[in-house]
Amino acid sequence: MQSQIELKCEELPGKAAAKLVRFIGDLDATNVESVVEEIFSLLNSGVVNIVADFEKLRYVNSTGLGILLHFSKSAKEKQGCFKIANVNENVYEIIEIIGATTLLEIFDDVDDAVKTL
Amino acid sequence: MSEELRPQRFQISFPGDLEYVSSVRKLISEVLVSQQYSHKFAYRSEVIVDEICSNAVKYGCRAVGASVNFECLIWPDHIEMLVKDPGGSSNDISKLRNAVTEAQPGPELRRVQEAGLNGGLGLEIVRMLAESIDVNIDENNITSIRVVRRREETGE
Repeated sequence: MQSQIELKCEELPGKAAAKLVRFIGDLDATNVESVVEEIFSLLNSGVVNIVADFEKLRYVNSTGLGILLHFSKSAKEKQGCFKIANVNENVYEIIEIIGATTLLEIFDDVDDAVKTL
Repeated sequence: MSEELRPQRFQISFPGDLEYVSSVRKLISEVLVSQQYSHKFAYRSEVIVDEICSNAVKYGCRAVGASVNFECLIWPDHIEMLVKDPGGSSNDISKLRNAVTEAQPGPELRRVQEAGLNGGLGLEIVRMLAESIDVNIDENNITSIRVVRRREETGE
């Protein structure tokens, strides 16, 4: 059974080439392809500044983390950014274990992340 | 007469397909909570189950019809997880042991395995969360990985 994840995109008024993407559910190897498709569809359409709201992202495994790092790298290559906000304690711990806190731009909440765009 | 302490035992066999792994990890997490382990302990264990079962599917189930066996022994103060897949070769044992048990690359895990695309992140997570990991390949080329996690007193 594929893990459930839903991505909800919202406009960020006044911010050019930017969107807020809310991640809802679990991110793992079974659904990473659909997430890749959605995020790259944004990046390739010119939305190169993405704020990812992880408030409702319950779970992420190493495959999911790998792809988050890839989003960050790809956005930077397009002169944009992939910022993460509202990370819960459990997910943050996994990010921290692999030392990715220095590679990902992580903010306490969405407003803080949006201010830096 | 003293009563011998026995663990709760969960054993699951599933086809070599990643789609089954999410059900297994969630089940084990729920079982651990029902056995008075904390939500944090259950979450960390769920991650381990995911990573070791996913590796078993990806690297140990290349043959058509191959399956993974997962077993979890739940003791009051620790749990043992055992994953078996049919993809081993005794020639690989040293390489596998090194990959599973030894500390891995330096500078920030080689810039987090070149920004996430080179693999190896899962094993690093398991190493950090587990108390011990042991790997073996038997004479029938069955690869087994045993992971032990101990209940911690610091709120876990």
